[in-house]
Amino acid sequence: MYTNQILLAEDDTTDAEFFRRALSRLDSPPELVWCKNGVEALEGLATYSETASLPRLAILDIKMPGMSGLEVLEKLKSDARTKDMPVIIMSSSDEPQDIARAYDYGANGYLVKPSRFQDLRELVGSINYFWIKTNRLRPASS
Amino acid sequence: MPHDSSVQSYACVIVLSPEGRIQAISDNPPTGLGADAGALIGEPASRLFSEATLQRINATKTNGAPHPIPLTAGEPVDWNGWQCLPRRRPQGLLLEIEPRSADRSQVFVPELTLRDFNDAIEATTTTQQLLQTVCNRLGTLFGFGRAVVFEVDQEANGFVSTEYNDGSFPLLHGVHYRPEDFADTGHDLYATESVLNVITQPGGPVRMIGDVGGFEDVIRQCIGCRLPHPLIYAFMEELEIKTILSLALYNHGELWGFIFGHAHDTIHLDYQLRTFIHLVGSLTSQALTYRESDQAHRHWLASDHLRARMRENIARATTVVEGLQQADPSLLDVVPNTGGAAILLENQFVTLGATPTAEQVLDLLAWAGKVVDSQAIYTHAHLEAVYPPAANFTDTASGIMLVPLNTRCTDWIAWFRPEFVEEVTYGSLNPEAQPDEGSRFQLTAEVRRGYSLPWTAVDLDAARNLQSYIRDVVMEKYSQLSRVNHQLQMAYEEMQSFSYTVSHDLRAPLRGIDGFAEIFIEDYGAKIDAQGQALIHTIQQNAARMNQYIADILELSRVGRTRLTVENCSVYDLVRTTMEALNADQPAPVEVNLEENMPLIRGDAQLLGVVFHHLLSNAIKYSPSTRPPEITVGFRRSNEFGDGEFFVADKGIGIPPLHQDRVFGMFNRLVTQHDYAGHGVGLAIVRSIIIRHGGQIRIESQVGRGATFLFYTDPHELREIKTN
Repeated sequence: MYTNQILLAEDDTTDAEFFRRALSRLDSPPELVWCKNGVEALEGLATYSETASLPRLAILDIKMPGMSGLEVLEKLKSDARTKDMPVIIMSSSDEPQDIARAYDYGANGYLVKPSRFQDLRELVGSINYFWIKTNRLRPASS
Repeated sequence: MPHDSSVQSYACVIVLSPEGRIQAISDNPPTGLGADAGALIGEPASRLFSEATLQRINATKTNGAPHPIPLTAGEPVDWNGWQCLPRRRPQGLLLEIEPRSADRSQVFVPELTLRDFNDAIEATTTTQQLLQTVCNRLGTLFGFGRAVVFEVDQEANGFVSTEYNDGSFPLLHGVHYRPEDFADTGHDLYATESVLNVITQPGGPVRMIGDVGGFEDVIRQCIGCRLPHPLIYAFMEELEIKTILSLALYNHGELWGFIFGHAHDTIHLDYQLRTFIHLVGSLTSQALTYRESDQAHRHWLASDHLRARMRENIARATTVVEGLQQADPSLLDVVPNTGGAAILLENQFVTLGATPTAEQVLDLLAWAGKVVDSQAIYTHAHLEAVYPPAANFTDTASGIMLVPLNTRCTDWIAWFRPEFVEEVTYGSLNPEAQPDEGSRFQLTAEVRRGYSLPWTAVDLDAARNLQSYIRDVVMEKYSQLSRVNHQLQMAYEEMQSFSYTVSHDLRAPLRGIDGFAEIFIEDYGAKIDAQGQALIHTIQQNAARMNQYIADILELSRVGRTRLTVENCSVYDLVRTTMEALNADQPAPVEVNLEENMPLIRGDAQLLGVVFHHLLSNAIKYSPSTRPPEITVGFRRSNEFGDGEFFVADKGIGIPPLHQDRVFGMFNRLVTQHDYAGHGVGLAIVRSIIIRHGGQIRIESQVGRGATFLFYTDPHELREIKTN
C-alpha cells in the first residue's frame, strides 16, 4: 500500500504554491512532498527503503534546472524499485510533440497547467480521485 | 562533290603507289608517249621519268611543301620543259606536272618585288588604301585587266569594295553578289591553299583515270590545278573571262574575302608565282587584321567612358533592369546605329526606342532560346531569311543582335536595327527570275528590302562587354539573395522558437497573477467591500487579456511550426464548417453567399480552415449592426489557365486605403477595443498561413463600402519548414 503522499517536482515557487493550495482544498488531502528540481526528487525518493512506502503519485514539471522532468521520468522507469510508481508530467506546453515525447518516456499521464485556480482545483481533484481509487487495488504480483 | 576526281586540264596529275607504279593519271598524258592514259596504269614510273628525277621525287618528305623538279631533256618522254611538284603522303606520292610561266626575270625579281609590295603596304594608312594598292599592283604585275576585292559577309553575301580596271572590262565596283552566286561550299577550296589559278580550256576539266587511293582531298583542295566551284566556269563564260586568279584574304584567321584577277587571255601562274602571290596575300591579311584591330581598339577606347557610365548606372540601381533603362547613357548609345532595344531579365520585360510589338519580341526571343548558344552573341542583318515572321516588322527590326544573359537563354538584351532601303546592283539575276541558259550573271538593279546596316566587330565587342558585366552583377545579386534568404530563414526559425519559449515562460507568472487573485477572492472576498473586489477583478481581467495575447502569439507561431498536409480542399466544406462554429455564438445564424463553380483550393485543410475562420469572423464582426451581414465567398479568375484569387467580401465598415497594409500586422487595430471585440492578431495569422502556402493576400476596400480580401495558394511554392 502506497503512502498517502504525492511527490511534486517543480522549480517555480509560484506554481508549487498554486498547486499546494489547490491540493489543500480537497477533503482529506494527501501529504505533498515538494522537491525543487529533478536531482532533489531522485535523492528524496532514494530515502524510501521499500517500494511499498513510496509516494503513491509523482507529478513532474518538464522544465527544471539541471535534470529535466523527462530525465527523471526515465530514471524512475528504469529503476526496479520505482518503475511501478505512477508518474504524471505536468507542463505549460500543449504542443503535440511534447505530449508524445512524454508518453514515449513512459509517463502515465500528461496534464497542461491551467491558469485559473478553479480549473486547477478540478484537475487536482480528479487526479486524486483516480489515483486513490486505483491504488486501493493491489497489483497481482507485488 | 564528284565521285571521280577531276582536275584542270593545263597540268598533268599522277599518283604513284608506294612501290613506284602509276596508280592513277589525269586523262591528258604528255604527247609523244604513244599510249593513252589508261594503258599507263600499273606501269612503273620509270616509263615517264628518268632515274635521276625519280630519285629526287622519292626524296620528298611527307606533308611538306613541294620542291619543284624541272623536267629537262633527259626524261624518257618529252615533258616540254614542265616542272614536277611531288607531294608525299602515307599512301603514296602525288605528282603535279605543270608548265612554267614565261621567263620574266628581267622585270620580275621575286625578292625585290615582294619587298616593293611590303613597302607599299606599310605606306598605306587606311584599309581602303591597302586594298587598292594590292589590287593595282597585282593587276599590273601579272597582266590582269581587272582586279577586285570581293568581301564576304556573315550571311555569305558578297560585295565588290575595291577595283583596279585597265578599261578592258566593265566596272564591277559596288556590285553585290547573292549567297547562291559564290556558294560557301566553294570556300573550303581555300582551306589549305590561298591561291587558285583558273584557266578555261577547250574540252574542260580532265578526269583522273585509275585509283586515286586516298588522294581525293589533296586533288580537291591542295594542288594548283584543282577545280573551282562549277559556277565559276559559268561566270567566266558569261563574262568572257579566260583566266581568274583568286587569292583568299583572312582577318584574325577567319576568311574575310578574296582578291580576284580577271583576264581576257590565258595567264598561267606557275608554282613559283603562286607562292609569291600567296606571300602577298599573307602580308595583306596581316595588315588587314592589324588595321581592323587598331581601328576597333581606338573606337573601343573612345567609347570606354560610355560603358563605364552604363556599368555605374547598373551598380547603383536597385535592379539591373532599372539600371539598363536609364537615359544617360541608354542602350542605344552603347551600340550606335540602332533604333530600339529590349530587355528581358528578372521577370521584367522592357523596350526602348522603336521596336516590334511586345508579343513579337517575346516570340522572337523564345525562338532564339532554341537556336542561340548561351555563350555567343547572335547577329543577323536580314532577319526574315532565318525567321520568317520578321517580314512583319522589317521597319523596326530588319537586323537584330541578341545577347543571352543566362545559360538557359531565358534572359536577354536585344538591339534592333531598322530597314535600310537602298538600291543595290547585283551581279546576277534574282533567283526568282528564271534565267535562261547562259544569262545568270547579268547586272541587275534591285531595291534591297528587309536588310539593315551590317553589324560590326565593334558592335559585338560592346555587347559582349555588357553581357559579361551583367552576368557578373546578376551572379553577385543572386548569391547575395541566397545569403539574405538563408539569413531570413534562420531569423524566421529563431523567431518561431523565441515566440514559443517566451509564450510558455510568460504563462508561469500569469498563473501567479491570475490564479492567486482568484485564490484571494475565494479566501478573502467576503472580508472586503465591493470596491475592493472590483479592484481584484480589474487585476484578473488584465491577466486574462494577457493570457489571450499569449494564446494569439502562440497560435501565430504555430502556423510556421506545424507540418503541412497538402491536399485539394473544397471551399464549400471549409466555409460550412467554419460557419457552423461561428454561428454557435451568433444571435441569429448568418448566411454566407457561396458563388458557384469555385475550384478546389490546395493546402493544409486545418490551416485553411483557420484562414476562413478569421476572415469570416471579421466579416461578421465589422458589418453594420443595423442589418444582417452580407458576406460573399467566391473565386475571381485572372486567366484561362485557371489562375485567380479566392475572395471573402463583406459590406461592412471597410478599411481606408492608407491602412490596408497595416491591418496584417500584429495587434494593429484601426478601431477602438470597446466597439469591436478581439485582439487584431487574426489577420496576421491569416497572412502567415497564406504566405506559408506560397500565396499572397490583398485587400480591396473603401470606407463605408465593405472590404474584399483576395488570396491564392501556390502549390508549387509551398515551403516546408522543419519542425524541431
